[in-house]
Order: sequence, then structure tokens, then C-alpha cells
Amino acid sequence: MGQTSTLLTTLSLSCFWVLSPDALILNGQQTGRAGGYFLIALLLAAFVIFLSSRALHVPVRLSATGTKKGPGRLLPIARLAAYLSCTLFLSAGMLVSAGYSFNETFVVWFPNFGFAFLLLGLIILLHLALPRYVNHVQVWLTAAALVCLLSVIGAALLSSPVTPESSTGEAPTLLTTLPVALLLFLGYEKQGRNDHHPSSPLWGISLVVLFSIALSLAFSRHLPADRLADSTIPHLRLARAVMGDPGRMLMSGAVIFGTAAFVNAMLQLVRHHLLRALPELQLPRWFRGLSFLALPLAIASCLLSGLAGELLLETLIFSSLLLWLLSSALTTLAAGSRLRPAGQGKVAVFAVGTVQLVATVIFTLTHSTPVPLLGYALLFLAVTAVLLVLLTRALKPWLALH
Amino acid sequence: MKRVMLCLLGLLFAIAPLSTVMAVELMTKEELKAQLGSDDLVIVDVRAGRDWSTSELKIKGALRVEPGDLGQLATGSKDKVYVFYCA
Repeated sequence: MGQTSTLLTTLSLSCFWVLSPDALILNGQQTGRAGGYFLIALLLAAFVIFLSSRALHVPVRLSATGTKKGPGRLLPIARLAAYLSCTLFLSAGMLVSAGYSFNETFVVWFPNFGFAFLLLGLIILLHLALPRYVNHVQVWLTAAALVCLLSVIGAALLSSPVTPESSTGEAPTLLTTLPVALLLFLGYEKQGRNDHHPSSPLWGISLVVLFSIALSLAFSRHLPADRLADSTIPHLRLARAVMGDPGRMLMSGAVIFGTAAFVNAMLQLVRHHLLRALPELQLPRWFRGLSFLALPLAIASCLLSGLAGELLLETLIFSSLLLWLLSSALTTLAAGSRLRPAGQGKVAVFAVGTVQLVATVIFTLTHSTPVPLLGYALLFLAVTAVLLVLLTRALKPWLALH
Repeated sequence: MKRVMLCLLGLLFAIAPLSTVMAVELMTKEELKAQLGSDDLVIVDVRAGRDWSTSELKIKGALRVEPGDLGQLATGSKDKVYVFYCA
């Protein structure tokens, strides 16, 4: 039971992002823009991620020089910056989406922002009052989202395709599609290899690629490419096209469960990395509590400030995703630098890391606003670096007195 | 609060060129529903960001204009009724 529970937790933590509303939208839009190229890109991305995951989670052949070589210094900051900014901006955006889904599908008189705050509040309460059950709830939320999504996808794949031929007018390329495909696998670096299930990273990656391909096929069979490419709610359109109102309800449920699973997982991720980033200090309990509450309060502040009604939020979200892509690439390169210099293994890992790095550059350059995207990403990095330095310096004197 | 202020500012900017003195009236959804399809009615969706992009419900035939771009409506017909709606 314990082993099954660990595997389920690992799997639920590997797909919290791909089942979230924003990932569903990315899948739909990319299916519309790139068609079959997107499916090929998904398979390529899965291969790249699998190789990277093997390098991260196989603790053998480590160099005696440790992790100080290569991108080691930048990596903790990049990773924490990515997790912090994704948690803040993606959570705020998705909570708004969940609020609208609840209001427009289930209870029209319940205010959408009220539901967004309610959902955030419930997650905070879970972490504060029942921390032992956080992983259990994660598994249930993921399972609920998956059931809703697979119901719609299954119905879409089993029913006759009804999509008329259409084109977006753009010539798709594998090069521009691959970065988005890689994006859907973000979070794989957190799939831990464990003694009970040494192949659990492979299971997680397989789940992500199979789900993404199935969803893409469902989109292409029922919605024309030009509508998909420009739609901000392709998943809801698909559900309505395939199953009518029951489909809308299932997909709205998926949005709500997927949002909750994402926020829950990201809060855990950030907390884990923030505490790891300050390893030399025995952090006081008040700091641990404060560090946990600060981020949800920041998310709530974003909601209250009306950021969800600004186009700026989308730029901030994509800057966060850019940082996450970058930190994945640096993680792979760092893993490569740790391997003993023994031929093909090390070269392969560096090649994979380079592919991820190039994908990050392409993602930036092909975005509609690359300069602000990069600017905000650099800002997040700088703010995180300053935050870490200030926290370390602020806490050390206090601890020295005690 | 900021969004409400922006909506109001946009409304003011669009209406002011159309007449020298005009009170901004509110319309109930029943009144709007009764007029849907009329050639003299222009519905303007001024929702922005995720208020618009994540909402599945959009009024058919509504013109979508960002709150900061409402000035473009100043060139529109002065004989029509403009109805602005937001989140």
C-alpha cells in the first residue's frame, strides 16, 4: 500500500501541470497552429525529457568535483525564480479561470472571484491544518481532473470526426513547435526515482506524452485549425462540441480540479526549494510558517489588484514559463557536469541540455513580445537572487544570538 | 477597483464626443435581451485579460474593444445605442 501510494504521489506530481487549464489551452492552440508537427514534437520532447530524467535521477558515476562546475551557481536561483513566479502568476490566472468555470457552469449567482478566493483559501487551510494529507489530496485532485478529461477525450476519439478542412495560413515547423511541446513536460525534474519504483520517472513521462497526444487528436478531430489556434478556451469548445452541456460540466470540473492540483503542487514545490536554498541555517518555526503564508497571500494580492483583468498577466505567465524551461535546461547541463568524464553518457546529457537551451531561446524569439518576456524573466531572476541574499543575511544574525 | 475606474474612464471617453451633455444610463439584462438583433444597437464587450479570455459566455454580435481603445468608437454612428458590458 505504501509503495502504491508513493507511486501515485509521484505520478500525480508529474502531471499536475499538463492537466491544468493553461496547459490544455497551450495544447489546443498548438494543435491548431502546427497540426501533425505538434504530435511529432511531443514524441521528440518525450525522448529529450526521458534522457534528461535519466541523467537527473540515476545517482551513479558522479564526478569528484561535485556540482560547483558548469551552471551550478545560477541553477538554484533560476529554479527558485521559476517556481516562485509560476506559482504566483499561473496560480492567479488559473484561479480566475476556475472561478469563471464555476460561475458560468454550475452556480451562476456565486461570484467568480469569490470562488477563486474560496479555492485558494481551502488549499491554504489544507497546508496549515492537515499537512500530512497534502499528498493524498494531490492524488485525489489529479485523479478527479484526469477522470473528467479522459471522459471528454474518450468521447471525442470514439465519435466520428466532424472537422472541416481548414488552415491557419501559417506554415508550421517542428522547430517552433518543439519548445511548446517541451513546456508540457515541465515538472518532470521533480519526479523522484525511488527504490520501490525505479522506473517511476518513465511512467510519469509516458502518462504526459500519451495524454497530450490523445488530447491533441481529440482537438483536431472536432475543431477546425483556425478556431483552435486563436481560441482562448479550446478545451471548453471541444467539450461542448463533443458532449454538449454534460461535456461543458465535465470540462469545467476538470478546470477546477486541475487548478486546485496545480496550486497545491506548486506551493509544495516552492516551499521545498526555498528551504533547500537556505540549507546552512536551522530555520525557526516562525520563518517556516511565514514563508509558507507569504506566497498564497501574494497570490491573493494579485487577484485583489485586478491583475487578472490585465494583458500584462499573460506576459508574466509566459516569462515564468520561460524561466522554468531555462531552469530545466540548466538542471540537465548541471547533471551532465556531475558525470564522470566517460564518453557517450556525458556527451548525450550535454546534447540534451543544449537542445533544451536552444528550445528556450526559440520560445523567447517566437513569442509575440520577446523583449518584455525576457525583461520580466531577468527581473524575476534578479528579485529572487536579492531575496535569497537578504533572507540569508537577515536570518544569520538572529540565529547567532540564539 | 482599478478595472471599474478604467471602465468608467473608457465610457466617458467614448460618450463625450457624441454629445455635449449626456447622462450614462444603465440597462437591465431584460431590456437588453428585448433589443438584441436590433440594427440600432451596438453591444461593446470591454472585458479585459482573463475576464474575457476564460469566459465561455459572450454576447453574440458584441464588439470587443479593449478598455483603453474605446476612442475608436467615437467615429461610429451617433444614432445608435451603445451598450458597454464588463465583468
